Amino acid sequence: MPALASVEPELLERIHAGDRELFSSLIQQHSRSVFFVALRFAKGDEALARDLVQKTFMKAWSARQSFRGEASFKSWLLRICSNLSINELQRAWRRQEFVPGEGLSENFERLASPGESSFDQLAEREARSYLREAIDLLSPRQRQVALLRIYEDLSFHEVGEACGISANNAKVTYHHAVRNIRKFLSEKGLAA
Amino acid sequence: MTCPDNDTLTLFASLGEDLHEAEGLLEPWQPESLVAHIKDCPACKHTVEDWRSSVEQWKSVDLVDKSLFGDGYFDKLQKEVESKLWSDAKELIRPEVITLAERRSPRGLTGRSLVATYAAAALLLLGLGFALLGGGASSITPPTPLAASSSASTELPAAPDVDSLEAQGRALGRSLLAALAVDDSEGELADGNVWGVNTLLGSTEDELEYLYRSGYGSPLDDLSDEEADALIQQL
Repeated sequence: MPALASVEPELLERIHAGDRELFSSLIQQHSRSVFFVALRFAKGDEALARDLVQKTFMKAWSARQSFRGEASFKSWLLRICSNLSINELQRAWRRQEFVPGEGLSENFERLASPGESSFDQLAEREARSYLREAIDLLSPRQRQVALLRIYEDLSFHEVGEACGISANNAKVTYHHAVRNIRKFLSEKGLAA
Repeated sequence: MTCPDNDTLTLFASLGEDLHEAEGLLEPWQPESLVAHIKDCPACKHTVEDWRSSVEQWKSVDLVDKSLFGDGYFDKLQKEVESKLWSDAKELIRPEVITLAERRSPRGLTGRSLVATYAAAALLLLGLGFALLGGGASSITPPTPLAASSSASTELPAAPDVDSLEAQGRALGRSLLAALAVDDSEGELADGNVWGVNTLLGSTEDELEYLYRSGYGSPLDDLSDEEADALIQQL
């Protein structure tokens, strides 16, 4: 599990001062994590995920003075990214562009299983489809916590920082998320 | 120890194998006693292992295949992000300044804007005055002098040089703006490399007008009426 990393004062000072060279290296360091978090939130919509990555770094740059360095820079970025993602999806749902659990599988299948054909791969595709559906049905907070904990392997402390909640809240929320996912998969007849 | 309830057991399983993660949620003695119990209780052991293995399964079936996105993809993405970020960062400065001016405009002419208006009017009157009284001498035919005073007409002072006066008026106006540029808030603008004093001194009228309209004149809002009068007198 990655250790909690607070930011060195000198680094924090350079971030606040708008050191572009440093910011470029931070983009290089964290763009993968931000992209994959955005891609999962965007339900496999690559264009939307790229847009969210762009917005995340724009927001981070413009709000760099508010970064206090108590949390790691990655946690701070993922917090921006996941909040932007949730807001973006809520707007999309209002525009009826996204309906949870419907019409989204193509994105993920295209990204996750190109050209798969064997029985195992089909089974995996089905498992992924159900898992995705289960995660889609979670509350936004549970989904946020579950995605960060399961796929980004963040500690509960970091998950809490990324979600703007306490570590204990993150633990309980994660537990409820796991229970709900298991329950959904069980109802679908899949061994949870 | 009797078997713990299912909620406690699954919560313990959710927290992972690091016992420190249970701090704050379980009683301090619970994690270690649970570990000891699970070791000896096949049913509880199965529950915990099943719970944890399902999470491991979900991890292995990631919602996206990361291998599809190689280094080249992220190099390109980073270039895109930085390209837009730095180009937008430049443009972000000027609109903020304009917004301040627009927000100020409904309050009407007060403080600095009032002084600037007076200054502009004074410069205009100065220019007009010279144009009508003397400066036009070079292009307007002087009235025919009466015969009786024909000798006096030769004693009229030479017409002032309009170009020179106009240049003085411009220099005066720029000096005023340059003097104001040492104000703290103007310093912020200068620090932001938006407009410096040198920019001001080398500006055309149109540029000065733009600077003023875009909020450059804001510190004059803080002047008292007496200070404003004094500045007008200087003009």
